Amino acid sequence: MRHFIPCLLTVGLTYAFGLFLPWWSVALAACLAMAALRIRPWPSFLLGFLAAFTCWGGWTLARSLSNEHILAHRMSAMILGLDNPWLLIGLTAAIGGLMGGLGGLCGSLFMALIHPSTHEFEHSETQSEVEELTRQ
Amino acid sequence: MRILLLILAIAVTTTLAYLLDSRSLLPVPLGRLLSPQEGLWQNAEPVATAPNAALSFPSLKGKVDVYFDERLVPHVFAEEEQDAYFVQGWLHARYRLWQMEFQTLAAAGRISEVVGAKAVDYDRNMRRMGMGYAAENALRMIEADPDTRAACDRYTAGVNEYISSLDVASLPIEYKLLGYRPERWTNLKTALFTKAMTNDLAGYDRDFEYTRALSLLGEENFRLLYPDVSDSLSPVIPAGVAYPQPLAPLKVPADADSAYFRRRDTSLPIPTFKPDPANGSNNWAVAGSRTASGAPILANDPHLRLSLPSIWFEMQIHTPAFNAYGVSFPGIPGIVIGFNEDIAFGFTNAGRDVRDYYEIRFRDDLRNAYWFNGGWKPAESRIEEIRVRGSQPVLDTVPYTVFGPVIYDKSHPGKASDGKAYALRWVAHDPSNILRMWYLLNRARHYDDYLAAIRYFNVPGQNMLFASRSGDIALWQQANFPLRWKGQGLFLMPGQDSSYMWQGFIPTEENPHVVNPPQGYISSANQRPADTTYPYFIPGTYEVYRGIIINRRLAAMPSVTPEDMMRLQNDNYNLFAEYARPVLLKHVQPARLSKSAAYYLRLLEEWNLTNDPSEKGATIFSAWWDSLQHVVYTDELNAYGKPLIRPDRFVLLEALLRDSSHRFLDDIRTPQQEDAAQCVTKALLLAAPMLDSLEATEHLAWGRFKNTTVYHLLREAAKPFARPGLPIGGGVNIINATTHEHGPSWRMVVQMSNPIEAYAVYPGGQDGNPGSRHYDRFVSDWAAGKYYRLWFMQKEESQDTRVKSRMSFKP
Repeated sequence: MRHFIPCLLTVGLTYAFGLFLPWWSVALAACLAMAALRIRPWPSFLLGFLAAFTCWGGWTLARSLSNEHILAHRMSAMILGLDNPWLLIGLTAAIGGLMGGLGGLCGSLFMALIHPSTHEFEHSETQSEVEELTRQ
Repeated sequence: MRILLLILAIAVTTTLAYLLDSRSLLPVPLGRLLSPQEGLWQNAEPVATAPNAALSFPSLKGKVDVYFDERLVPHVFAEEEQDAYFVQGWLHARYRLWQMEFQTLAAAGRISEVVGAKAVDYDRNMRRMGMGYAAENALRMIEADPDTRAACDRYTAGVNEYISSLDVASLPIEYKLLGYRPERWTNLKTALFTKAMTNDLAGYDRDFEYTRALSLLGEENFRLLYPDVSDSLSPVIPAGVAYPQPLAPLKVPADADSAYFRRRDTSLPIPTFKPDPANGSNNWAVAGSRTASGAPILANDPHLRLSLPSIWFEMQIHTPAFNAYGVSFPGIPGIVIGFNEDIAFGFTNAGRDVRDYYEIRFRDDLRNAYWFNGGWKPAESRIEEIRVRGSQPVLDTVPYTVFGPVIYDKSHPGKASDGKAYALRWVAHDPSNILRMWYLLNRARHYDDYLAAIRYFNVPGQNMLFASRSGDIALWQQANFPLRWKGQGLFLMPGQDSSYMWQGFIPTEENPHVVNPPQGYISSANQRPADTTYPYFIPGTYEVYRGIIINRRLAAMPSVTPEDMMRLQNDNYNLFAEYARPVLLKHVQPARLSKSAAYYLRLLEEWNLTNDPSEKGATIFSAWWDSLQHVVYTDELNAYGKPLIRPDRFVLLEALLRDSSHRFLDDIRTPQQEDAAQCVTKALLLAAPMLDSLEATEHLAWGRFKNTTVYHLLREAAKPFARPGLPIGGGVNIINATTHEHGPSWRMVVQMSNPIEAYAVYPGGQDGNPGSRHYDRFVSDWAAGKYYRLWFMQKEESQDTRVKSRMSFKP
């Protein structure tokens, strides 16, 4: 559940930045979200990826479904040489995810550099999670 | 260590962002293109939504209501006439912006700005042809007329209001794919659009090809291969109409025989980027005396290269001054083919030659003075700057002479040239305001209004068909057609003095025309307009067979209904084959045929002479006849090491019908004498392997073989935007003139009854966006020969259930 917050923040910032910044602002959104919440590097990549993947994928899926995949059929044939809307939607989500993951990683590494001790909170939470799991 | 990791992460992220934002690694900027916020997904229009909006523009004078029906046809009701043009411009831009800009960029020779260096030759050819010069001349006339000026100004304002409402996300998808942005619309672009149409319809000529053929083949062979008139002509103007004799005979230059007809010149440029000579059309009108309802019926189907988005946009425009329905050209104001409450109008191409070339002698390589009427005359220069995406601009200085722009010279030689210079004389360069014709036609009520309107049309020559609710039918072949002495302009002409210049134009009132003929119908199908009793020399590119079959069908039809007319537009009967098959069957030597050739012969004998999609005989006939033309002519046409133009289809048929010892039958490369039997048999034997491979892949049926395809304007670059493999019959010389990628771009049947009953369809859809369900909405119905009943909406019908959505435009 606690992973939900950085994801939500990333999604929110992705939308907000997209209103006035180009498409690559998805990386910036994840970067700021992970930095602000001081997420550790590897989780930051995974969470950034997951958030952006879901955001771009979900958004695209919604648009394409309401379009009955008319454009996705044509564009997948043009871009991928293969008439498969799901592949194009997947590719869109993957590009968003990759940019989000990398952006998240950058944010996290940046915070780790200027505040070397900041990941302790996250660290202890993860530890307690592990402990919780082992206890059960 | 940590800082290195950070630097690495930032480097990877920015590199990836850069690569996905540019065309340096991938052909398209995939990140930008796939972004759900600004990329192509924004063009995926929700299927369920219809356009509803309330918009406000301070420049409007009154209110405009737009009602969209189920097919996304807008019915525009404007309180003020000028506002209607504003809204038409806005709607054209909303649904067809990319296409209208692309087509006018093409007309201006500016495609290199979008696609880069590969279009420079194309652009240069358009500049050399004087397209920009022609459009500027037209624009001066358009803007000198207060009515057309106001219409264009308001239209342009509407387009630009739409353009300025666009952001990165809402750009049409082609801009995103090609990576550029629309520029402002101007009245000049509207003029350029009319010149693009003019070039498509009156830009085809064979002057260079004919000159080369005359030089190589000699006069007698030339006349046999490229005759002026077909034996079986069924002219637009019914035979028997008496023509007044011209007042003064034309002055033939004294040296015409030596310097013109016996000129021998074979090192000529080979023109490129020629328009398709098949650009033509059918139209016919049936008088009330022959219709079931007693009201005239007008039918029109213009044949053009089929494209998505379609060249046409269907709409109704209602203003206090007029109420017209039909198709418009995205790019110009008004309704182009259609009807209003009183009249209907349609067009076919006249195919008349309105372009000639003059050989120019420049003083020196500076090309700023040329020899004319005994002295050096200064040439004006127009410097054409072709901006090229991704590289340096190309500059071309085009000299202008008294004849027109110098299209070929040392610096722009076409494919092969002797470095001589040729100037182009083309009616399209002459100042004119053809928009005024549509402005007046849209509000015309009677024959006299129509007559007054068409006078403004100088080019491309059109057969302008008219039918009125008051019961008149009429057709005028209208344009400024040059007065020519016999033979003038078939070949390149000397340009060192004025003796070979056109000596004026045929007086408009002597243009071929027919009003309420006793036979009760009028038709035109790009054939020669009049028989040889017409007292002027009128060369052109003419069709022969569609006109004959249309007249035969109309003459046999009692009490005509709109349904009859729709069936006629979809008629796949092959009249050419009706004439030509007996010739093949008469001469073929069955004993010499291979087993498979004998099989095709049998299929051809059993064929019903109809080019329906399932007919194999149609494919066999087409392949056999093409092969026969190849067998008969290739030896002569290739004998000189220079390509010669293939004669028209009717030439060989009529030669064989007249005389089975036609002189070209002999293969000049062999010692023995070939005859018709040998040629016809050999032709089938040569065609058989190709037919075998078609049969083996199940492509022998005509529809599969022809593979009718509506391409996107970007053609191969946007193949998934095309509609290939349409199950439709027809073909060359057939009323349903649908070939592989060419054919009826709009089919319309209008019965001028009360109320008007109209049907139409076109192979496209109202929305140019490939992400809209309206993009290719009508294509399948068009291929199946179906029509839509047009709704000529009345003002009080705004609450009708046929209204699916609405927009309002207010000041």
